[in-house]
Amino acid sequence: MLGTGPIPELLPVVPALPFAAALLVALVGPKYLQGRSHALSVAAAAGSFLISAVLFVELLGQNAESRVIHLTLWRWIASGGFETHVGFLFDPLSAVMCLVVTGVGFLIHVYSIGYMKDDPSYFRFFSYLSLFLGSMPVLVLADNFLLLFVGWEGVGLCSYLLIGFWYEKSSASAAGLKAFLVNRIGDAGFLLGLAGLAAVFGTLDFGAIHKAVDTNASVTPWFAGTSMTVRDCFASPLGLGITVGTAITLALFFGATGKSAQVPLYVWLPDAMEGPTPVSALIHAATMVTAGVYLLARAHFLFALTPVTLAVVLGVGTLTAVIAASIAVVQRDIKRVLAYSTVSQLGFMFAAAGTGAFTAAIFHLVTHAFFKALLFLGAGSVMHALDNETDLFRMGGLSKKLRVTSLTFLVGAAALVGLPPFAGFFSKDEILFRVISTTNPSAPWLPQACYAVLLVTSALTAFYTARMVFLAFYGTSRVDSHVAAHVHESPPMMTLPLAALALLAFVGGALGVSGVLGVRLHAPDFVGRFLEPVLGATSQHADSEGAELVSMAAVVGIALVAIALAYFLYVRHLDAPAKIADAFSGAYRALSRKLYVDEVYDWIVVRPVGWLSRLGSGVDRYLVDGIVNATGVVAHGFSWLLGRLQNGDLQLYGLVIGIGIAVILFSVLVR
Amino acid sequence: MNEGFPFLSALLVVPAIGAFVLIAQGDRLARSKWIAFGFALAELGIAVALALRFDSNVSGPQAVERHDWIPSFGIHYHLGIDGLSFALIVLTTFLTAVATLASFRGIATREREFYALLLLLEAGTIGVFVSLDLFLFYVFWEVMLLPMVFLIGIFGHGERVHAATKFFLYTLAGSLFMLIGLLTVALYYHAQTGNYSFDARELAGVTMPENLQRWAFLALFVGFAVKVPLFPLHTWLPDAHTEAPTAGSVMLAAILLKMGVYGFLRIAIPLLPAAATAAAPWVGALAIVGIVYGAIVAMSQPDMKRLVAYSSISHLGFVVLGVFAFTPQSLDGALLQMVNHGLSTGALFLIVGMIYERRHTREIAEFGGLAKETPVLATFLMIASLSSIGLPGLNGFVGEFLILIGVFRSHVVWAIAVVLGIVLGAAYLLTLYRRVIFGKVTNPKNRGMQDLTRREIVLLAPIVALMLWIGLYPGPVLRTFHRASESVLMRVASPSQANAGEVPTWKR
Repeated sequence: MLGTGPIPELLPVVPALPFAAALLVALVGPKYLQGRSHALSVAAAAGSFLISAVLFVELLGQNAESRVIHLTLWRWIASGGFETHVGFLFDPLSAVMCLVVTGVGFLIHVYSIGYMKDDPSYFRFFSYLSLFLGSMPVLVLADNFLLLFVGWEGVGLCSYLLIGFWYEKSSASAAGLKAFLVNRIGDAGFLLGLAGLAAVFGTLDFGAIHKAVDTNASVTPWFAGTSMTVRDCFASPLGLGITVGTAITLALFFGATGKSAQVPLYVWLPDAMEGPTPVSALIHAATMVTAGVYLLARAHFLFALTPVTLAVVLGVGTLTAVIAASIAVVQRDIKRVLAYSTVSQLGFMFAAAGTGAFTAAIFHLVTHAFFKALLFLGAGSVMHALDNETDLFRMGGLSKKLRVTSLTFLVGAAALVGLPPFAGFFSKDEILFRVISTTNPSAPWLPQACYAVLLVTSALTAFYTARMVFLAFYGTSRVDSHVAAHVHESPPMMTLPLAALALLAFVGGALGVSGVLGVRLHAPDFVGRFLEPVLGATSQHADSEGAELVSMAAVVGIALVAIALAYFLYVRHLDAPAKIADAFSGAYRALSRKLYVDEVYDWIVVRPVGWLSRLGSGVDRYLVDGIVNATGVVAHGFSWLLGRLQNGDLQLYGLVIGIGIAVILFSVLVR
Repeated sequence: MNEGFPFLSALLVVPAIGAFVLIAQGDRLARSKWIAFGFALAELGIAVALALRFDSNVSGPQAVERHDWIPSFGIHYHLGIDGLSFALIVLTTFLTAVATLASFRGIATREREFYALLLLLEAGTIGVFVSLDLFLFYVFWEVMLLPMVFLIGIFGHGERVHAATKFFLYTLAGSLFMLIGLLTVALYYHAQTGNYSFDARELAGVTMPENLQRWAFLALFVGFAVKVPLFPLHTWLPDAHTEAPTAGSVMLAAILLKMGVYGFLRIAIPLLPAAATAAAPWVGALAIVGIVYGAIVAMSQPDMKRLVAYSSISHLGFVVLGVFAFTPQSLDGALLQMVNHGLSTGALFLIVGMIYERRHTREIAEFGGLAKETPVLATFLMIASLSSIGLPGLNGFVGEFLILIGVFRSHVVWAIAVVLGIVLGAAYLLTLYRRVIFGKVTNPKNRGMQDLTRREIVLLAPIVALMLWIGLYPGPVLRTFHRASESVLMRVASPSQANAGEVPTWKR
């Protein structure tokens, strides 16, 4: 069972500090704090990070096997033998997540001081940001699925509020609503999955379910009168050719596709760019959108039992990766390029999870948090310099004027492309190699096919990243002349977080050098070893060193070719892309319209629901109510008749009639 | 049977005295609202005192009072409460006080009649919840109807007379069916034992043949289904809610709708368990239609109050589904959801009422951009909407989740309807929010709209506190329900014995 660490009482403080800040800023911000509202929020973020760090050090001080700090606060929902608690769990997996969330969160808080400086709703921004920074630790520290879901919905609420932060803009409030509703659709799956777990295990506690799975304990699922083992229960057919275990894990995964913007529910994330850029960096790149990956890692022991679900996860992740990367290639808006890139990179993480390589998925989650937050904040710095310009074709040559921004952006881009020795190289290489070396009994051909697609995606990634860098920072300036006059580097409050994140994106990969490189370079696979007690050992693949090196070289080689192509198209021959777009106008239009997915959803979901709603209103008003009103008229006539007869009141007559009918009914039925 | 201070009689009498004082005090109108608020607070105080003595571990009625009334027909003045009625009583007294305070601005004429009716309504409502004698129950059921009709018909808006008439006839027709059902049960008891009785527990001791049970259940079902309301007997509700004054809408949604479910739990199921079990799939199907239909129709309502009214149909569908799934979780969840719906829909109606008092319209299209003008109102409306949507951390989630896992265990397909309802619920409420609160102020009439006053904040804040409390620490509330839902389950599990049998528990 879960042991109790030395200072578990510190755990709830991690979310409590930002929550307190959020409440205080909301209450006293508008009157008293105003321009100083950030102070409380930033202090709370720093405090949360420090406490996470203290707990992390505490964890490191213990044996690898007993690295768990657990605290149960109170009994939450209990009914008829079902019971959940509010309890927090700090194990290596939550430690990694918590450090990333609070660390990156703190940097983005600092950056926001500069970025949001003149916003009239300054206090509201920091209140929401703190609310987010409290909810996210609830998600990653929860010791059971239901409390995780509290954090899950909490961050979803913050995302909704922050996407629609500039609520006077119709597009912003629409994007917020879309994000919430699309996520809700995913949540429907999540909730069904939770109900299924509760109906099998009678608990939603991670530890208890994990133990039941490990020991193959006996359970009494809802569909069977008798008890059976967990494995038998998971293998029981449910209909339509799927088993109970597959259905439950697929339902959970469906929830993850909502929050982590995967096919078919990824459509909300690009629109989420309506929110302020620090929000895009923190919530829609580094932390919240990775919650789905975290969920799968947290529930890895369930997914490990269901190869069909894993195959689906691998397939969906790969498909999402390639679709989003293709769309990113034609986007003109720098934030949208980054948004699709995020969707695509999340696809890589799911692909890793789909092969059972949860450590690789989490490692990529960490490096991605560093470099994608960096890229978004860099884009924000560019927008800050250019009067909120986001069109890449109205930038160009900015590297001379925005030195810190362009240099750090370059680091982030290199990490995203996966060039050695930047962080993304190590994590992406690990994923690709995991995919090719995996076997899935339910779909033997799938890993190879996915590997090929992911290689193409790597090339696309290199291409759209290079395109973005070249268009923004190199070549000739296409900036409007009146804007160009006052292009300026951002204040230190913004560039310092950029520098810090650049450093992490540069060296972060060293944390998890595994496989052949780990062996050859004698680098300790710190992340892998640290996560081992939770996620299992990263299998050594020394026998395939050669294959891994070839794969690695291929990835880097393809990336370099793609970058060269981007250089040729977007620096040397800037008129060429338009010609190519004309030559392939159909494909170009489809990609720039995001493959018409929004339109399809509009036609098959949004509009039919609207029609149904109006139809329902009509039916209610004219049909159902019409019948009732007709009865009402009859009743009116009846009461009028009674009134004529004896001038009595309806109550009394009702009573008399009632008694009469009852007597008749009674005599007919009984006697 | 009588023990100590007659709390329940006090609960009945205090609002009635309040109503009498209001009528008797003549024309000193300015004081009426404060007198009414004072009585409402006193009533709430009694309920709180009762809460301190209530024992969640006792099964069966507490604070019992019993006196003869019409002995020849076995009719008694017989009062008592269990966890189910206790929670609804506390909710009633709390929301009556809130509704009184909420009417200070909106009700400017015939104040004393208004507040007298409100207090009478409270007395009648409490009467329904404390009656253990079914005849007494029926009397209060009818008593409570009249003040509500007058509140709508005199103090309502627009088509108020039409709405009041419709409400009256609908409910009256429903209660006739209910009476038929009650009398059938009572007469059968007489035929079997030679005695008359209207005591719910005594009546439950004699098991009716299943065929007769079904007819009696059908009659009771119609009576209670109108009140819930279940599809397709719901069409009185949008009109009544929309035209009622704010306090009326609050009481209607928060309390009166619960009486239908209460009737199922207190009367129809315990008295006719075999029929209830047999009817469960049909009732469940109607509840599911209600969940989806209410939510979908809510989406296209142009009137804020009408939208919230349709949302009630959807929410009550969850409750009925939870009841007829007959599992411990779904029953506890359904009971909790009755309280939750009272709080969240009550809050929604209060806030819509506040908007109406400022602009004298409820047309959604008239609004937009209120966040800028009235940030405090926007915040409270957000919290109330999130509570109604079932955001975890707030009250609605706890009930919905318990219903979900209970329903999942008994009917997996029902569970899919539950999550569909959860998705749709977010759609209509957040769309409403976006259209009213977000965007630019395009209608000049909304410019400079007054934000919430201190009085309005004072009356909403306790509701929000309760939402958070139940959301985060529902233990004490859930505990009061356990015994009540247990006894319902015991009846369903072993219809032949009143207080024996095994409760189907959650086997690990």
